[in-house]
Amino acid sequence: MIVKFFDEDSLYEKEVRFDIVTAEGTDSIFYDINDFQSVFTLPVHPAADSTIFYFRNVDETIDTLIVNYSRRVKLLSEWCGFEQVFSNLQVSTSFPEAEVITDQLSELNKEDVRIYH
Amino acid sequence: MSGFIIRNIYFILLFGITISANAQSVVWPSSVRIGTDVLMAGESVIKNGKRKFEVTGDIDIYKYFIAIDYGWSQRYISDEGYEYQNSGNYARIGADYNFIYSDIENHVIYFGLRYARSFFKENFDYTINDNYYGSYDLYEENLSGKARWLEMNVGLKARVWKQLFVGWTGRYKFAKKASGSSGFSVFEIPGYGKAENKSNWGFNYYIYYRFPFRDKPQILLKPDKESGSQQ
Repeated sequence: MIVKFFDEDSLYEKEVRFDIVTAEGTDSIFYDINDFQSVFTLPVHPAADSTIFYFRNVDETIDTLIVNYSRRVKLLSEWCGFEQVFSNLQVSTSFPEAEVITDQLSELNKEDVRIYH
Repeated sequence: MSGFIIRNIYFILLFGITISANAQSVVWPSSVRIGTDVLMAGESVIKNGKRKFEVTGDIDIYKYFIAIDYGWSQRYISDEGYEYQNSGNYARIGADYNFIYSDIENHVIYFGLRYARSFFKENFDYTINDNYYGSYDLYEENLSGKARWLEMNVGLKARVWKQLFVGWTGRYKFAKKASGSSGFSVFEIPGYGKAENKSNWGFNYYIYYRFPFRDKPQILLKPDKESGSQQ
């Protein structure tokens, strides 16, 4: 899932820095203090219908992005295996505002969720 | 007279149509032909994971046939990380037009239309190995999968010995509608094939046996209005 940050006042794309970006259900840290960027690629939980992402700010406050979705598995063919499809995205957040840009996740998407920060 | 009318009503109710050689006649069937798909039987023996069976029947009404097919199938696919199972049945009903209806050997070259329905269940066991969230064994199923579609058929049935026939049918399957569960996209529809295709082609090779009621279709002329007698 591709999350893009925008300035809540100017509405321009905005580079941001977080102490840690992680999610519930994993010990992995997706991004840290060294990453200063506007676009974050965040993996959704493949076996749950929602994922809570935590964005720990430099001042140690934590913002959250909760993503709800429908999971569907699709067998492509007997030779090509299967794929998971995540659709009907819905978001809620502690950031000032977030909106869904594309309803279904795809590797071809350039932006799935927009956060105003 | 009343017997004749009742027979006519039964006939119309049973077949839905009254086929007329001319405006004043009704045609009674002369035979029933029952067959099975020998390619499916062979495929079931040779290929692992595929079990298919289909019976077909037709009844002749002058230039036309009423045709009914019934099929059953099982499918099993497995590979690293998943197992898929499907079982179900299907039926087709329709009518064929015989281009060589006057052939004395009862050979048939036909074009037909079918309405088909399928009822099936699928299940899918799979393992997700995610770099961030770990491994999960997951399971999805369609316990009440349903589908319907239409077909245009062409084919022939050739008499090879006494009442034994062989023949093939080419099928163009279209206007498909299918439903299943929300968690798994229907993969295969028994009788239709791969579910995500808007249309599919099919081919059957049948062996038939024909059970004749009479030598030729019997044409019964409707009773004369004035005399009330049957001609």
